[in-house]
Amino acid sequence: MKSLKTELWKATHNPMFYAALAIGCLIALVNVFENKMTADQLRPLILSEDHVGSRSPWGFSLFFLWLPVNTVSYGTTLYCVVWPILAAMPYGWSYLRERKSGLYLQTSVRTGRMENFVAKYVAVFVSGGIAVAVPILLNLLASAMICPYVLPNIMRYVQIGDGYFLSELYFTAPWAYALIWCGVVFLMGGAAAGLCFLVGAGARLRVMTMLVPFAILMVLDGIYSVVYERGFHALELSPLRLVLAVPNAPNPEWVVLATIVLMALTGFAGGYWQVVRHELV
Amino acid sequence: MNWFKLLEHDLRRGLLRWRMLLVPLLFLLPCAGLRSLLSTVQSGGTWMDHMLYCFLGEAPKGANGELTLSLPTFWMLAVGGCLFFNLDYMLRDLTNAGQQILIRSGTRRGWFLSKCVWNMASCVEYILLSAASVLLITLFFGGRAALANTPELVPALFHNVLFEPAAFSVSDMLLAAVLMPLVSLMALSMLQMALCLWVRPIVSFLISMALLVAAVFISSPLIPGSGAMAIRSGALVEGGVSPLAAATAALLVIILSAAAGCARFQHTDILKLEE
Amino acid sequence: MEITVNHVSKTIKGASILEDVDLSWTGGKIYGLQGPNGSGKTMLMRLIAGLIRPTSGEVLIDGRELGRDMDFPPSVGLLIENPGFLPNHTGFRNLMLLAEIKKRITDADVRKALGDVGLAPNDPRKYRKYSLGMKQRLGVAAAIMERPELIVLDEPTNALDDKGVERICALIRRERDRGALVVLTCHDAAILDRLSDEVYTVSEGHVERRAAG
Repeated sequence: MKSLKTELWKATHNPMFYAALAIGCLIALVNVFENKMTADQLRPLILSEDHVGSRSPWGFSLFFLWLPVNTVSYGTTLYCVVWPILAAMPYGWSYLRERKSGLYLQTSVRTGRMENFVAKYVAVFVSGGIAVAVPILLNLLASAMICPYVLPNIMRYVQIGDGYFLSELYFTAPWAYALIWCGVVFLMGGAAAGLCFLVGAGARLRVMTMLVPFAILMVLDGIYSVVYERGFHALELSPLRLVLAVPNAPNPEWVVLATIVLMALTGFAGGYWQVVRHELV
Repeated sequence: MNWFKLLEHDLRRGLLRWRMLLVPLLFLLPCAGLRSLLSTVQSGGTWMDHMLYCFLGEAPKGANGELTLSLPTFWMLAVGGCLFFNLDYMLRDLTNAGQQILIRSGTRRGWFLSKCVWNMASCVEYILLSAASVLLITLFFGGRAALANTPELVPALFHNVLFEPAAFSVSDMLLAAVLMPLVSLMALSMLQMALCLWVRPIVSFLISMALLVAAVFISSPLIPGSGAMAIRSGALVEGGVSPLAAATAALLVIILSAAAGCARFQHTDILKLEE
Repeated sequence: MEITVNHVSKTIKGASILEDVDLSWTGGKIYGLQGPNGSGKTMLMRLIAGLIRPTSGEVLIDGRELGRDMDFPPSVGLLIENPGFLPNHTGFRNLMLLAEIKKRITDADVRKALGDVGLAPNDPRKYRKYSLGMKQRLGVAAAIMERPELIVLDEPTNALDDKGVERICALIRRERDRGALVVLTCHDAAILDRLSDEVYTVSEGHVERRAAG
């Protein structure tokens, strides 16, 4: 599939991709500075702590400060709100732009509509996933670098427990957990970016296409908030908050994976309808 | 050139938009969310209860001391919705007939000021539509079209901030749930539009979101958006954000955004604005 | 009308688009701009129309500096690249919306302008349903309908059939004879030579006059 290679290159070599990465990393950096302030305040306590192996007696750890876990920080809250925008920024707008410029017609007649769409969807997915996951990974590494006295301890965090995503792994092999979570965030970002296809070429400006995943996930969050207000706290169902490893309600593996699959299917099916089935006029 | 003709074009083109039909749906969510709280006090609620809930916001950080995510979704939807709806008009206008209109207007300053007036009018339209939508939803759910609040609902509504039932004065509630959100929205929307002249519209929207989240974390009249939270309004809560200070700060943001936008637009190459 | 361009240079993101351009144009003439793609023709037109500002130098309209004494030429009609109109309105309604701003012309004038370019004033179709050629004709109509003193036309014959080209050429000549200053680009050198009183070659940001053919 030669068009896939081309699309992936286009998706990861454009100013919007770099801008999304830069903004994501900037937000992650805000969280790092917040972490630095928190860690500096607790430094005497941290240094006087008697460790039992890699276990921290009172539960402070690098994995407590990490962006998807540290839910009380400004950086985390902002990231939780804007990640769908960051996911759509790199390439979610490409179909609209190429339809308006006529380029999509050119590529479609050369590769076929289905192949062209699949290549574009994969490129949108991958670029969106990278834009969302890389800042999360960098945040962990930057926090470790800037606050070296905060150790990657195995910790007992008050919120995470039974029912949370891979909670056992979180308490036994946190580095593996962190890497897996980065993978999950990559899939979340990719699936959310694919939602841009729902509008097809219907928007006039690409900025509105880029905001489609954000708008959908915000409204879904509103709908789930209504459900929570009615006393349902058993599961975290809002895709917007599922980008956090420790949302307010448990996020078991099946919920996280089902959400990713549902979002990806919605985006793909919507795209198939808009892009492949519609007439190219 | 008749500037009012230009303004008329902007108001006609910019206010009559299909997307405004989404406003009732947007406000249906918080109103539905309030039903469970109202059932605990066995009341149908009033229009004012619903408006307060839509623009309630989040208690200041530390008030509840929980280590959980603070994301006032309903408030974000209510405030962010207006910013979302207003984001693209200026650029869309410029990519359509705007360029032709711009050269006929003869003045860049006049064109941008017309957009500023449209922007504020659009915020008024949004608040009026939201108030009307909330009224219809309140009546649909069996509530009352009253300007008074339900005192028994206050401890649940102002969770961790007010603990006793209270009947607020109507003017204070109108200030906290209608007027201050409107003024804050005008400031945010103007800032967002002016920023579009420096950065891409998507970045401008991201900055607006960053300000909204900052308002959740910092209770200060200087953060545009802080004044739009009823739960932090000095009119209703002791030690809250002073409405006068928040309105003054918002007015300052409006004036600065208009002035800076005008100055910037004087020297902006039009081709860059066409995305 | 007189347009004087004094030592104008334009740089965008470090790339030099126009370099030290000097021109002196008067009304009642057609000035053709010729040059390869990306040579700076459209930028020069945008500059004269006040849509972009020079990095250095000045553009004078009847002795008054564009950007300082005025934002746009006082009487200008414009067609640059794709004509932008409201997609959900008819061609007539689109032109009326523009005409209402200055209120210099009546709806009869708008109908006449539409007829002049070969469009039916009562065509009920929305702009979004227009063919490429019809959009181009509407763009030309918008540029000339108010009988402006300066008319800037970037590739006005694009997407037009032979009859359409002849019609637009006749219109441009008519506007010139009325006293308007017309600035024109056209990819067809023969049409440009035939229409223009003076032809200028634009190449890598430099503008030079050559005799019309």
